Amino acid sequence: MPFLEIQGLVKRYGSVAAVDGVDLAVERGEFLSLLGPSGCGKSTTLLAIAGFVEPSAGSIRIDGREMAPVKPNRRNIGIVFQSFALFPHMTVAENVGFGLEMRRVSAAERGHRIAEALALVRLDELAGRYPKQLSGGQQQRVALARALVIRPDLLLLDEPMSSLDAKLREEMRVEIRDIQRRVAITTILVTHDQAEALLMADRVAVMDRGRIARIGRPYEVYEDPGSAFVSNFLGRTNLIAATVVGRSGGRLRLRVGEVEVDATGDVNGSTAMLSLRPERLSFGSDGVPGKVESCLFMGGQWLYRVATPIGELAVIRPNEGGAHVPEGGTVRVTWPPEAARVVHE
Amino acid sequence: MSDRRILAPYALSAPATAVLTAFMAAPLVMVLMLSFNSFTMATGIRPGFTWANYAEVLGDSYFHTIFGRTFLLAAVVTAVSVLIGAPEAYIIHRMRPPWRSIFLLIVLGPLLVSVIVRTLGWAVLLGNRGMVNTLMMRLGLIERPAEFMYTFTGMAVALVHVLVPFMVLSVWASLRRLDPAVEAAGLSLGASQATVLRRIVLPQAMPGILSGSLIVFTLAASAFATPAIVGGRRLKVAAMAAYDEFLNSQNWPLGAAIVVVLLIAMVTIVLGYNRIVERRFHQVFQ
Repeated sequence: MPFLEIQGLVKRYGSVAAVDGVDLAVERGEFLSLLGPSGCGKSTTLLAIAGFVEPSAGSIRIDGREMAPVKPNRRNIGIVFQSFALFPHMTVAENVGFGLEMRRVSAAERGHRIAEALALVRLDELAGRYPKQLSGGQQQRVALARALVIRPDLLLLDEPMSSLDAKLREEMRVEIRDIQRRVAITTILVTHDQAEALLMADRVAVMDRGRIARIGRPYEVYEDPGSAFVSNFLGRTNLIAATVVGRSGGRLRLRVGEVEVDATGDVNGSTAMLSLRPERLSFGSDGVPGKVESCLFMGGQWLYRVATPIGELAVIRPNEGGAHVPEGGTVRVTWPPEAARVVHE
Repeated sequence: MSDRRILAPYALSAPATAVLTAFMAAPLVMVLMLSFNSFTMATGIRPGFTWANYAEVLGDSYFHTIFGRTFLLAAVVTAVSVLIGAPEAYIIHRMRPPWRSIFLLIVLGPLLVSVIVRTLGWAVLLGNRGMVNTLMMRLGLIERPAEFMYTFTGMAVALVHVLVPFMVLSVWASLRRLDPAVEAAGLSLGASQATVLRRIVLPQAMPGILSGSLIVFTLAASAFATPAIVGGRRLKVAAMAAYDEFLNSQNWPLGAAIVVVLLIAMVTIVLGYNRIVERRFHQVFQ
């Protein structure tokens, strides 16, 4: 039986359904990410798990126990908020100790566990500081320590990295992921940042308009997104409308304008949407002919825009120190057969 | 160019400085000088330097009573304003958008009406033949009119009504800086709603409560119109005592001494209070 089980979760505000039938099963110790654009219902789902939003329908069970009658302060869930929501009038140690105090843990035991939690997030020396005297990254670690010290059944991370600057965000992703593995706590991360979700989570659930559009391991979901929405939201992709001209053994023969290509996947009907990930495309001696419209340097990679008979294609090539194709250059765009995927619209 | 830039702030604040000097600093200095003059019924005001007026204000039990009443009234009004205003501000803070501004306007409504008009309204309501007493007697709840007018309680009630909007505004302003997620964080850590209010919201509203208290206390201690109408001649406060010395007894120097003592007492209280507050809540103020 899954540790966290959500069935048919619906939350309506007036006539609008923010969450429109979410089913989710999360195993004990698993790190799941709810990913989606703003307004897709991921935050509402998180708030429903935490108990701050009352579902219009559906059930939420943690370790087999129905959560509907349980108030937020009795759910034993640790939450890291987007704003961190530290108590500004309390020191770091008092912030971390607050949950223990509420659980009537003795002062001695409390001191011990506060020290342990602060050591986990490498903040042992700042126990006496006030939140405003800390940097953004340190505040976030306090928020994480405060959520973990109560030994919650479930850890919820609500866009925890969005108020940090880019460099720090990358460090904290890895650090939070490591801490999560070490304490082996079931964790749900809500984010709109696909890189964050892919890097941190064991499984990713991509949400769209109140439903889960696709769920699976990050690599699987990325490679086989299923729909145009997911493939475009997870990373970037070239989407090309095509006509189906033949089928054979799980592969489709598609026609785009004058060009015919093979693709993996299946559709009903005579039209299909072809997805080509830009990093799977390369320049070769055969393939679709094209002209480089622009060439942008991104540090580790070059980003090309190439005009071809099947439409404009984005191509990402690693920067290997050699010469790049200049703007206006003529190329042939090619890809391995499995890189061409058919997705739903 | 740079000279101009340095002069600009002074030039911009010159009108305010002129107004304050002409209508605030100068009269205060004149009042201070006046308080050292002497006065007799026969001779009127005579220039000179004497501490006699201060000796009278500080030595006479008549003035002790007046000053005692003034500061007790101010303290009671402040305490009641906190008890009414702080929860009121929190409730308004928690309201949804359309209601929040509507109720804030209702709270601030009394400030749009002149103090005299509002206080006379209280007189109409609370007088011996006022609406409240008449209604209660008709209903047979009381036999004789309950006394509100010309009592300490009556003054306190009327002043609270006049001053509570300042407390609400002040607390509301500090609650607006409160991160809404902080309350959710408290709940998620296992605190009850009451504990969240006491341990998390209240400390963060404290700067607002304290600055609101300062405003209400100083306005209550220096109030004139409301105590004069509701308290009447019998329950004098310091501002009324000064008024009487100036206009009834014509003893301007004594009136000036009362004003100076009241001013010094209030400045002392305000500064002392500020120091305590800043020391106690420095991390919230940062």
